Amino acid sequence: MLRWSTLVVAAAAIVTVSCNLNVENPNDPDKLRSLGQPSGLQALLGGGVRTWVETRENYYVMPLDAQADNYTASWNNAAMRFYSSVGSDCPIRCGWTNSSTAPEAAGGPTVEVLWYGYYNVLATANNVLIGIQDLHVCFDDDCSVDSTLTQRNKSIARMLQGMALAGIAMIYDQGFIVDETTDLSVPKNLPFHTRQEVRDAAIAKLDQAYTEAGVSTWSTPGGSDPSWFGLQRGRTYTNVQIRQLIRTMEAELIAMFPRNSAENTAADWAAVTNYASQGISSGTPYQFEFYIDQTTRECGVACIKTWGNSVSTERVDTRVAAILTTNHQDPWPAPSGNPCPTISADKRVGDGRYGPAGNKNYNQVAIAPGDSASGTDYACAGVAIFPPARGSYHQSNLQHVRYHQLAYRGEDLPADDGTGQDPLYTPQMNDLLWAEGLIRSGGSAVTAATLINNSRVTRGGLPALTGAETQAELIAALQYEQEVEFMGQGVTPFFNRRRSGYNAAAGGGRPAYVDGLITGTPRHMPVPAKELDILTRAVYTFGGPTLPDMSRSVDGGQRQETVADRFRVLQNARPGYLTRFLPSEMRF
Amino acid sequence: MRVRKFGALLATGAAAALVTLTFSTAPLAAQEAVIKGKITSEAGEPLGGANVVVANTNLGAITAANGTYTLTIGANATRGQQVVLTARYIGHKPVTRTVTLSAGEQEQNFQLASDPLRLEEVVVTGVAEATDRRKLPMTVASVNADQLQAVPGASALQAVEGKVAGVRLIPNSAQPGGEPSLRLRGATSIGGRQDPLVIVDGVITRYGLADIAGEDVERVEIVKGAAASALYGSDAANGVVQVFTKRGASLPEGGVRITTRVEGGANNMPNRLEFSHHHAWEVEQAPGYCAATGLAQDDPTTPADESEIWTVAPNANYCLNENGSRVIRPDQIAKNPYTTYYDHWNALVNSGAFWTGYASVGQRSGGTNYSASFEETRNKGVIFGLGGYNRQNFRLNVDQQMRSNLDASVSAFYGKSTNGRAAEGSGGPFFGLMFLQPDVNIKACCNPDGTPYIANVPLSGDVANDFNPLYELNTRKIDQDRNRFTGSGRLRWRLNQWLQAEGTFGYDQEAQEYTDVTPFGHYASTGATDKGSLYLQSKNDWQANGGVTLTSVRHFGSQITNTTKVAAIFEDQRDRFLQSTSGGFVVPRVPEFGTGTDALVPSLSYDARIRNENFYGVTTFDIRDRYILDGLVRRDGSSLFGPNNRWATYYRVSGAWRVTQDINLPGIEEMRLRASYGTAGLRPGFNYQYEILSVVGGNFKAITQGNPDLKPAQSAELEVGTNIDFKGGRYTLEYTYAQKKTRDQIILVDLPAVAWFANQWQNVGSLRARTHEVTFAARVINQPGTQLTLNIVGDRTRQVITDWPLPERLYRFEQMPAAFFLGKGSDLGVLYGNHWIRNISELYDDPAKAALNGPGQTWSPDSVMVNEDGYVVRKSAYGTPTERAIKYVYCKLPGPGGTCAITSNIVKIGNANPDFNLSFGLNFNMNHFSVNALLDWSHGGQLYNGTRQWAFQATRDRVQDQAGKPANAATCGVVSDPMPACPQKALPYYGVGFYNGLDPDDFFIESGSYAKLKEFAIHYTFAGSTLRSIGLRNLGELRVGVVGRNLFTITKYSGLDPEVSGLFGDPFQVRMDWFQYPQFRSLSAVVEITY
Repeated sequence: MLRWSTLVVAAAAIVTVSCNLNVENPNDPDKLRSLGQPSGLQALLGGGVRTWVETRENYYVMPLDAQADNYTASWNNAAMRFYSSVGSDCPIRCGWTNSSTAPEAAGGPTVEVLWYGYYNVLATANNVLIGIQDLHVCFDDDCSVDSTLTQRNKSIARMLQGMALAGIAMIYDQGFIVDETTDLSVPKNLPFHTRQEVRDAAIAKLDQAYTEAGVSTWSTPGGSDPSWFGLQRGRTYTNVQIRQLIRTMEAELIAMFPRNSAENTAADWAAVTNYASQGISSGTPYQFEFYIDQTTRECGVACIKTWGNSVSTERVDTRVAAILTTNHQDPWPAPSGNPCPTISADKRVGDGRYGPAGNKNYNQVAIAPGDSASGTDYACAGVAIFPPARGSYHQSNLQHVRYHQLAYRGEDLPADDGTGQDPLYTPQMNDLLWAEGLIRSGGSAVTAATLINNSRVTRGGLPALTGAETQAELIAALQYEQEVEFMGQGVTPFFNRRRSGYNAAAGGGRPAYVDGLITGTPRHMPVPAKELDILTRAVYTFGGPTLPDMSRSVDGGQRQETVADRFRVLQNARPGYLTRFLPSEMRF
Repeated sequence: MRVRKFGALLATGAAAALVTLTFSTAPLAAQEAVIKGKITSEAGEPLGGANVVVANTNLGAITAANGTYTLTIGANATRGQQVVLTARYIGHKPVTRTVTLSAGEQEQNFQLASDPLRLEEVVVTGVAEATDRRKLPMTVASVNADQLQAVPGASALQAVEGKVAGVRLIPNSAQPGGEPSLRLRGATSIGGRQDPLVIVDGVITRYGLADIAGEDVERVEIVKGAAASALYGSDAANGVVQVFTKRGASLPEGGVRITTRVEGGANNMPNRLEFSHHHAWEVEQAPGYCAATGLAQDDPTTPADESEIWTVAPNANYCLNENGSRVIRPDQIAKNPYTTYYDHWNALVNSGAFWTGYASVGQRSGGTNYSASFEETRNKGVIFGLGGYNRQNFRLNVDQQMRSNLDASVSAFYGKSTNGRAAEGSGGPFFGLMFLQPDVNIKACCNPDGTPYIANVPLSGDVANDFNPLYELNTRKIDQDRNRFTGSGRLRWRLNQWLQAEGTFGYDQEAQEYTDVTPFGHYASTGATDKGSLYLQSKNDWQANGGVTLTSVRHFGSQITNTTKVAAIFEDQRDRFLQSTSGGFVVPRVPEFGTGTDALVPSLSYDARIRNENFYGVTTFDIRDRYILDGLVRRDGSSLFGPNNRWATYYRVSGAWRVTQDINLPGIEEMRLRASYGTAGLRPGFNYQYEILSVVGGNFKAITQGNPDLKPAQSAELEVGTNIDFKGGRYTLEYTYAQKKTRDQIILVDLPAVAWFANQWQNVGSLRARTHEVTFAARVINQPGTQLTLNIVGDRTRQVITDWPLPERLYRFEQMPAAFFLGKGSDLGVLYGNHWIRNISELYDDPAKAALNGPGQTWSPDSVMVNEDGYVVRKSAYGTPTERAIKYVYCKLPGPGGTCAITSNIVKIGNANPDFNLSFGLNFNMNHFSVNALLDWSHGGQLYNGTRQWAFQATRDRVQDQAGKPANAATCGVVSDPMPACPQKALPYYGVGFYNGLDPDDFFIESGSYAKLKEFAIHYTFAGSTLRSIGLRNLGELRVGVVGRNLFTITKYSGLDPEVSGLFGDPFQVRMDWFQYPQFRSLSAVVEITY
């Protein structure tokens, strides 16, 4: 028979033999399992590169290209329609909706993505350097801190620091400068630095990376190790190529930093020439690529190219279409629309034929094998999507197809499976930076013409420049090439337009262009409201009808409140009420 | 360590008490006592299956079918002492009698009065021991078999709807095989869901109730908040629902019960979506001639013919331009009729059959009883082409009395189901439907590969969101196959007259395979093909719980009874899945990962282990049968809590006063005042405490910063109320007011950019919910052969975020408009968005417009007017394609000198919380007829009709059809006094204006009020005597009837059903219509035979 003593023993057993409540998460790595391991640190570096690509070609970059009248769409995904239309949501172009509560449709997330993306890259690089320098993680058998692999990884981390700061400097009006030595224990105490200071910090990091990458000879991972540049199919690059890439990015940063033509004139074009002359089109030219595997139908790492090369989503803006062809009008000629086929002397445009016969998305005429009349970069989509009522109608029926392999699947184009190499920096891009540096700094016009011809003649089949042209003619030819060669390259088309100096009076249903952008278009971004809210700092914004269009005022827009201003206002509302709840570092 | 000490203390204390008191037990007597008797109703009818128990013992007997019983008490327990005998039978008031237990035989007969409203039944949830409802110091609701089985729900909990105040159900999706979400009183979680803890036959159930047959449910008990659910600790802030399935224990001694039930019927949609019957494209004036373009292109042999490009309707009459595009009318007014109008709704939504067969057998013999059942159900739903939901269930419950002081119970359940599902949300069939041109024959055959239902459909309204839902449903197959096993056991050992030990164990396992296959050669709506894809997720989850309890019931004199229970409980859970995606198949009809060429898609696996150990003690004092005092303490440890906060403590204090035991209140038999205060928790998710770096292709990215201090959210609830029974227990009124505050909410908080990690789960924010609940039940007619019972339940809940130390945020799910606001002082469930101005004075809250409101200025009052729809528009645009309603803008933050620093156009536009809910239940029996009905009324609260908003861009919505309006004046667009009448609106007025880029706006806010006849059933029962008279000797009873569910709805809501919730997030907050599978009506016939 069961006895009470049995029960006592059983109860005691349950109490003493309790289960272990310390459970490890086997699904996701943490810092301990990544920073402390050489393979983990390398994986972090790869993640940093991927995040940089994701940021540069992000879904929310699409409104910026639409604001530049480059790619465009009347879809409101990522607030493209909101930010690019005129007279729909705002009487002129809308400024940045800098609000942490505004939805995608009203453009809330647009100002956040680049900020958080680039700072994630920066923090990743900083943590890799902490792992190497403070945790003394080593990558070679001899565990030497200065070994080749350690040196390689430090160089790449340093390069990522520079790339991230460069991204912030080009698009935001101010930012944080942090590295592996910064005390982040109280983020609210970090000061904002001006965009010029951020740019200079980026150049310094890139210069340091350039130097460190020259210490020894190495290649980025490949083979059995995951590539840093796109899974197993990503390419490997030598330290020499990385050094070239660094120089191209430095040239890009200085060239794309100006917010208007005045700043553009004042830029250090000699430095651009110097950096670009050592860039990826110098020495042994190569194309810097990241392998995209978009196996789902959602846009992945390279959204800007996925959408830009998909016929049912984005199109070439009529502004560009009118430049590239002789029979397209800007803006959209209602009610008949622009015609297909296209007429253009440029081989990259051709007659607009593309895809197999009967493909209703395009001109229903197949490209015959070896048909030289069809374009390499553009095709004509006979069906214009969206009625004019969707906004100021600037969506042409010219379609960018240069990166068609990265387009959405399912458009009846066999090679368009969303998978392939994504060229992030082409030799032609570096050539054009180099050429611009030469032209604007008074360098060799002949060399500049040769550099422009590398795309103009080789790819476009247009008449060669000789260098005997005027500077204005060279600049015009350069800008034409930039329209073609920068298309699809992240925010670059926007950066290029805001400094172009293009002015045009209102006409054809469109407002005036002022210094490259339609009136009201903001020329750079404020620190996102989400970040300012977290840091309890005042929210501000740029652009739109209530703020200057900044065509003359680089740092225009609303004066930023200080933290002290904000809380003083609140305290005045109810004296003494708020400050007693503030943490000590916030009291004043 | 404090934790272990607490548990050890609890157990040691219990053991010490046990030792002390066991040794004090008196010596036993030497001869058997036998009590015999008969239990009858007031009318003298024998009550078979009634039980007679000796209080505080395991001793008891069950009456045979003739009402007789024999209770034998062993010689060692017979000492001539006085014991309390209680006779109970369902639906009758218990009778308690003190008898002297002496050797030999004695007779005790009982006559039990009717208790039609079951006011004196016992409940076991949330209390120390089975407790008479009249002695509860808190609210414990129960729904019994009669209420549940009149109209069994499609899932086990469906049938509790409308029967308990404060209990709200809402479908996440009405797709067959789904189950509703349940909320008890107000919300406790700001960012998460409000699902209560569900326990079925002692098994903590974390994998839903969709597998369980409604016919198997015997009783459901519900405790709604921490004031009662504190007993269940850190997982019980949302309340507890305990489900008890049928057992053989209620059968008469020696009785066998065999029941078969067959229900078959049909589903249909009581409502439909309407679309525009007119378009705004230019049409030909004569075949082949179009004045608008001057082009004659109606040659059907050319590819540019509209019948080939824009429609499959052979007689379409669109004007096409040189590019083959349709040309829109200059006025852009949709008033040209389509030449052909196919009814897509009828093609997609049709009647589907459902069928349920149920058989059970139960038996009681001596110390053994069992109940076994089998159910098969098939439900095709109402959507074309789906496989529907098919389920088979087996259940076996066995109780065994092993000794006079030892009994055991085991339960086992196995369920198997397959479900051919439809996609929902954007991509689901209703999404494609909303964009389709009406002159596309979606039933047309065939595609180039011979498959039916043309896939290549034109771009409706030039927006490429449309697709043929029939083709998608016919080719893309989504299947969900589940296997479910649960088992539980209980061993109960009565150590002596006042002390009982109990050990329990429960196990629940689900295996699920979810596949989504798009075949090789699948056509997109453009006609392009792809190579198909395969997604598969295989889940294998299990959960085990067990524990030991010691329960003592002691009498201190004749005035005080104390019931005390101490318990130690463990929970162990492991959830795993493996999922993979592939595509680019090489050959048709082999959707296997190895044949796909998308080899670089990484598979994903997940493995979560959760452990909890909990200890509690609860004690209740019953003083003079009129004062009830209750208190408990519980200590929970969980692996879900951060390592620095592994343990949490909960408690409850409560009391009740049976006023009518002290004070005579005329006309009132029973009045009880009660108050309870308790705490309970909400546990974090598995990975919330951990640092998370996501992995893509072997590379890492920082996502979530770990939080070792993470702890459960803490809910504290005060509940006060009263219960009043009058007119002989035929009427009862219950009122409860509950206020709960849940602090330390578990919120994913954004971090500064330089922090590397994007976010961190933190304990921030508080939510307060206040609820009033009323229940009124009445046996209006209570005559032999005729009874009418009414049950009215109502509640009103208000919930507000009382603390939110974070930036305000609007959140959204999938591509739904971000309308749901979180901020201090805000009601949970409010919607924010743009407001369209209806009053001219509202214009000038916008500082920019106020600055230009002078005479002749841009925004002077003379420049605007209120149009036919009640919206303020500019006079110069009125009646033209640029006519737009104007958004409300206000100054959010004043600047210096009377300026405005920040303006905003986001305002509160709605509140999803209803003003009140009322349900009316009716049960009418007359002779052999019975009628059951449930009418549910929800008043107030607003819904967001996102389904209509998105489709506005495609110009297919019904309001865009202008054909029924008077024609516009010729001078529309000319400002005059008075203005010309221009009631017809151009498409952009809707498709650009109110569509609003899918940004939320109040055009799509609609009243969520409704009254719905949810259940209606008529049954006729042929008694055994009748059946025998016609030769059916073996049948005990035959019941036939018709049952209707969701029969009729009164509502102004323009969507399919006002009982709609978003597909993601908390369904009670995210009240958003978003292309869901709609609720449908079912009507069926029932035959039930009892042997």
